[in-house]
Amino acid sequence: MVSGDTRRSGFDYLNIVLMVLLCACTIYPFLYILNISLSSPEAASQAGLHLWPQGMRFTAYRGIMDDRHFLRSYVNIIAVTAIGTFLGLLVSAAAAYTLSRKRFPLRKSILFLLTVTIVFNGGLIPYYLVVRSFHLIDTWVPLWLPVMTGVFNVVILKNFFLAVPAELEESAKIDGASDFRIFAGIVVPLSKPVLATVGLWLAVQLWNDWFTPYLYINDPNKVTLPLVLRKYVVENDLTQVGSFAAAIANVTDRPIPTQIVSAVIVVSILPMLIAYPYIQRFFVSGIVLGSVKE
Amino acid sequence: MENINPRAAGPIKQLIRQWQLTLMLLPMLILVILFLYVPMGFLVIAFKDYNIGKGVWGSPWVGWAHFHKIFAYPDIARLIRNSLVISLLTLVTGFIGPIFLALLFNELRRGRFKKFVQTVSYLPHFFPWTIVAGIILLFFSIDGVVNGLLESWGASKPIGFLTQHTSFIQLLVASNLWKEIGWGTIIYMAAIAGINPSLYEAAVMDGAGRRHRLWHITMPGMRPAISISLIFAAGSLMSVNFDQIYNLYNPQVYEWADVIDTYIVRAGVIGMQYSQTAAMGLFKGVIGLVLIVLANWTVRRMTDREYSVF
Repeated sequence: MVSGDTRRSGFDYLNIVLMVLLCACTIYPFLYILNISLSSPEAASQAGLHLWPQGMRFTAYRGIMDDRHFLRSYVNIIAVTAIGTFLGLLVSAAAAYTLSRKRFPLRKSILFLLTVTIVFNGGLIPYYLVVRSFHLIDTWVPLWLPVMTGVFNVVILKNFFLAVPAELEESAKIDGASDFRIFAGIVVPLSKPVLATVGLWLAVQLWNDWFTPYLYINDPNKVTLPLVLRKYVVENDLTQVGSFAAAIANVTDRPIPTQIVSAVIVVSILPMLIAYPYIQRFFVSGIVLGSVKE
Repeated sequence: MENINPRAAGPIKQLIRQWQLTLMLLPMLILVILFLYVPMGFLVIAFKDYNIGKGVWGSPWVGWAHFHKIFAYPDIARLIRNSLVISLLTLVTGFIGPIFLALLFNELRRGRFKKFVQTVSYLPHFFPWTIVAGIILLFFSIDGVVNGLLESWGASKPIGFLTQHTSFIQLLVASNLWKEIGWGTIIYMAAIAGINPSLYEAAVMDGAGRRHRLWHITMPGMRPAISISLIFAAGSLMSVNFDQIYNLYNPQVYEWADVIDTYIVRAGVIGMQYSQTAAMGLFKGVIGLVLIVLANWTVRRMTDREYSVF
């Protein structure tokens, strides 16, 4: 790190040990769950560390595939996330662009209005009642509202747009380009990294959100994955998947409840796990972006 | 060219002239007004006896009655106490942990190992609390993994990690650390990266040892990041991690784990006592606001405006 110390001290070894422990601590629970979901029922019901699957079986996963409810919620969350990310980016970026143009009237006042909402808002109950009075209960709209009204992201985008050289806009104006044109044709292509970062933030936020659907969605056809997940994993309500398990003729092949719960967890986190190595650098750079003061 | 107009147009005229920009701003502005400001208006129900049928205007006015009731409510002391205890514990550990870990990360020499460890440590942050709670329940419930292991090692009786108050709170704090410590190091790592390396060189030449360099160069370099974190931490004193608690708690630990937010959801949304819980929410929000302003003011005074957020 510094040219001064070239020798490894005892502290360095300790540090390495700690880091290895940290990694093990982080990875082990997921490993355990994966192995349980892939083991045979007898192996799964035995206590132990389960560092690898014993008696490899896929029955728990086949049960999940038969669970219409679960599959439906998976499709729903993909739809909600895709649409929500698009809408959120569109609304936030457009607003951020306008707010980054110094010639826009009332800019400072509007910015103030928006930042106020970061520290103070009406609270859960009033929010719920407003959604209710707009008859938006049991629609997906309340799920998209948080990403469309997220002032934090707008501020980040605005700061980025401010850094776009003014000459680009000026010369485009001289050529007779409209504001829409300038935004879509010049600024957006230049802002791809920021848009990708913010977009990913929004996507993860939407993908993981269980509380908003919990409050606002009652229709079983509209529920999203995190909600169904919660039902299985937290409330332990496995009646649906359980019926599949009971349908397996051979009793010794029926997965035990913990296996089903584990399989559900694995299937739910799979997309995130796969995407993680690629997207994590976006998030890290995003934090750095956000923490740099104007 | 357009700016040097002696008869500068009023704001409305300008808005119309730059109609495209206005249009781009409008959707978000309208949504914010509808869904963030209108609810603030709805807060008035905290001062009324809200009846769904009568609506906001039709419901009778009760003034501070709900607030009186809140403070007279025997359990409110318990809820506030729990909120403070849990949030303080998680805040302190969640604040110190990442700083400590960032310093440790900083001492790692091998670039690839360091990157690997950091990447792994960020992972739990990306999973929702429903998953993490599910994992915890799997491991720590009465018939869970840990108890199973204990039993096979000869323990006589399973331990109710999730049903006993002390262990439950410990689980809350530990799991929060597990999930967020890695992610929390990011702003500190960014701050450390911004420290001028020649400071370190000079210190080494002056014979400063590792600990010395850490205390006199690294830590001061992290001061801006630390103070910003501190301000936000102080402001969120009253708001606990709802997701975590709501997914993990059970009636047996309500005594110490039921907090204002969980109560609001139970009694307010599910129990439909809108007015009272709106009042509670307002109470909590105001305190949070006061705290964050106070914290910001304190940091401003102590560091001559350098590190404050507002």
